[in-house]
Amino acid sequence: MNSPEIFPRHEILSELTEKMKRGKLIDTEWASRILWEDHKRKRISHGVKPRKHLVLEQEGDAIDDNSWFWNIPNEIVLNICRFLDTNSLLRIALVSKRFRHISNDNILWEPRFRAASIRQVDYRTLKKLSKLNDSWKRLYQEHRKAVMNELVSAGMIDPRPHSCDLPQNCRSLSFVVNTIKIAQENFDQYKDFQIIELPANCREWTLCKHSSLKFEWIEESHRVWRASTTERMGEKMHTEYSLTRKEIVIDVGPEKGMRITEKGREYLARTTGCTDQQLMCAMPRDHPTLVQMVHTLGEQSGSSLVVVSIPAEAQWFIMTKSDGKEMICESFRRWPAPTRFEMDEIYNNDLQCDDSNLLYVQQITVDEWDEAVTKWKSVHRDVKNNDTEDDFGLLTDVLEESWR
Amino acid sequence: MASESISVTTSDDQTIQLSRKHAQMSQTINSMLEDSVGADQEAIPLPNVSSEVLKKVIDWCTHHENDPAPVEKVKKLNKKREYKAKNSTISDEWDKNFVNAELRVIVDILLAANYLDVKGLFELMCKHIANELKGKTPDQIRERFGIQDDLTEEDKAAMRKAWGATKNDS
Repeated sequence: MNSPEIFPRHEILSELTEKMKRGKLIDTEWASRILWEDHKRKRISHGVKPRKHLVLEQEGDAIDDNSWFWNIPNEIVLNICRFLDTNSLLRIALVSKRFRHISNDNILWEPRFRAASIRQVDYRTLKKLSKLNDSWKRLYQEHRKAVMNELVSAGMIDPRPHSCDLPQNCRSLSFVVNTIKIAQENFDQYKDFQIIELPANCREWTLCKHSSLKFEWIEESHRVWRASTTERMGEKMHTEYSLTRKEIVIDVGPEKGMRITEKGREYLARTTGCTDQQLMCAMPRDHPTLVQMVHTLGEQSGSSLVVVSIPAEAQWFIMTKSDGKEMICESFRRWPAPTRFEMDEIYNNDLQCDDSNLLYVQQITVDEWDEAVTKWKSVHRDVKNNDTEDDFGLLTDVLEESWR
Repeated sequence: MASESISVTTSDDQTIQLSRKHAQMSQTINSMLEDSVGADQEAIPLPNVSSEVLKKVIDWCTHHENDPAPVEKVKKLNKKREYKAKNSTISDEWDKNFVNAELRVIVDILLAANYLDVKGLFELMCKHIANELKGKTPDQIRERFGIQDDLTEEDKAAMRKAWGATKNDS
C-alpha cells in the first residue's frame, strides 16, 4: 500500500485533484490530513497555521452570507489584531465570545505590558502585579491603572475636566465624532461654523453655563461614549441633553398654551376645515397639521418659536432657569410644564417637543398664559368627565397642584 | 531548463498559466516546484483557490514583482519603550485600489494568500481588515462582518467595568 507520506507532495496533490474530478468521491479526512501535513511541513512564516478543514470546502458548500467571516481561522484573526491599537482591541472584545477570546491572547498583550514603563510604579504595586499571573492583558490593565494613579498623585496628570471658551455669539452646537461644530449667530450658513477638535481620547464633553465647554477624558478610554450638547435660548436658559439614553417624544399643540394668531387659525381652518373651538378641543398636540403649521408659519403662527434639534437618542435634558437653578427633564416623566414660580416672570418658557425631536421654546406673556391655562383647565375637566385617556399627563397634574 | 511559465489548476477546475517569477512569490507553489524537479510538468493543483481569486493574486504579484523580498524583522521597542501596534497604513495607491472590494472577496484573497503563503499580500489583507475594525463600535463591527452577538450583558458589563468604560460603549 502506498503511504501518502512517501509520495512527493506534488503527486499526492495531483491524485487528490484527480479524485475530485472523477466524481468528488473524496475521502475528505484523508485529503485534509494530506494537505494539513503538507502545510505543516512548510509552516507559514507569519506564524499562522493554515486551517485543517480548507479542503472540505467543496462545490455546493455555499458559505452563508452571515457566517462567512467565521471561515477565517482564529490564527489569522489574531494576526489581524496585531494591527489594532489598544483601544480597538478592547472594543472588539465586546463583539462576540470569539473576538473576546482572541483579543485576550497573550501574544497581543505581552509586548504592550513589557513596553510600559515599570519604573513609574511603586514597589507595592509591583508586588501586586507580580502576584497576577493569569494573563498579560490583566497585568497590562492593572499596570495602567497603577500608573494612572501614580501620575495623578504626582501631579503629572490633571484628572479634572478641561475647558475651553465658546464664542459669545454661539447659537448651537453639533457633535460629529471628535469634533464639535459651533454655529454662530448666522448659523444657517455653514461657513460660519467654528470647529473644535476634541482630544482623541475624549470621553465626555458638556457645556456648562453659557460659554464654557468642558470635556474630560481618561487614559485608555475606548471612544467618546457620551456627548452632551447645549443650546442657549435668548438670555435666560440653556438646555443640556444627553445622547446616552433613548429618545423622548413630546407633543406640541394648542393645549399647551400656544397662542395661535389669526394667521395660524386661518392656516388650520384652511387645512383641516375645522373651527377654532374644534381645533382647540379636538386636535391632538402631535397632530401633523399642527406641527406643519409651526414649521410653515413659525413666528407668524403666534408661537415665537425657537427650534432646537434634539438627537433621537436624547432622553433627558437639563433646563437652567433664570434664577440659576437647574431642572432635569426626563423622558419617563415627560417634559415638565412651566411652574407657578416661572409664571411670575414676565415671560415664561414653555418647552414642547414633537415626535420629530424638535424642541420648541415658546415665550408667552402672563396674560396670554392665564388665558391659556383657563382653556387647559376646561379641556382637562372635559376629558375627566368623559372618562377618556388623560392625554395631558403630568402637565395638567402639575398645573392643578400649582393652582392649589 | 525550467519553463518560464507554469500552470495551476484551481478549485473550479480551471487551468491558469502564470509566470515562474510570480509563482515563486508564493512559498507554497515554490515548495511544490522544488519537490517536482525532474518530474513531468503537470498543472499544480490549488484546490483551495478559485480561479477568480487566483487572478486577483496574480494581479497583485504582477504589480509587486519587483518589490524586494520581505525580511523578517525582529520587533524592537523604540527608545521610549512605547509599544505601537503594527502600522496598518496602506501607502501604495495601487494597493488601496486593490483592497477596494467587497469584504467577502477580501476574505477570500486573505485565505488564498495564507494558503499560497504570499506574505506581502497576506499582510495587506490583514491591514485592510484591521482598518475596517478600527474606530468602529462593537455594534458596527457586528453589522459589518455579520457576526452574532453571543455575549451576555453580564459579560459586557464586566468587561466595561474592568476598563472603566460605560454601557454606551457597546
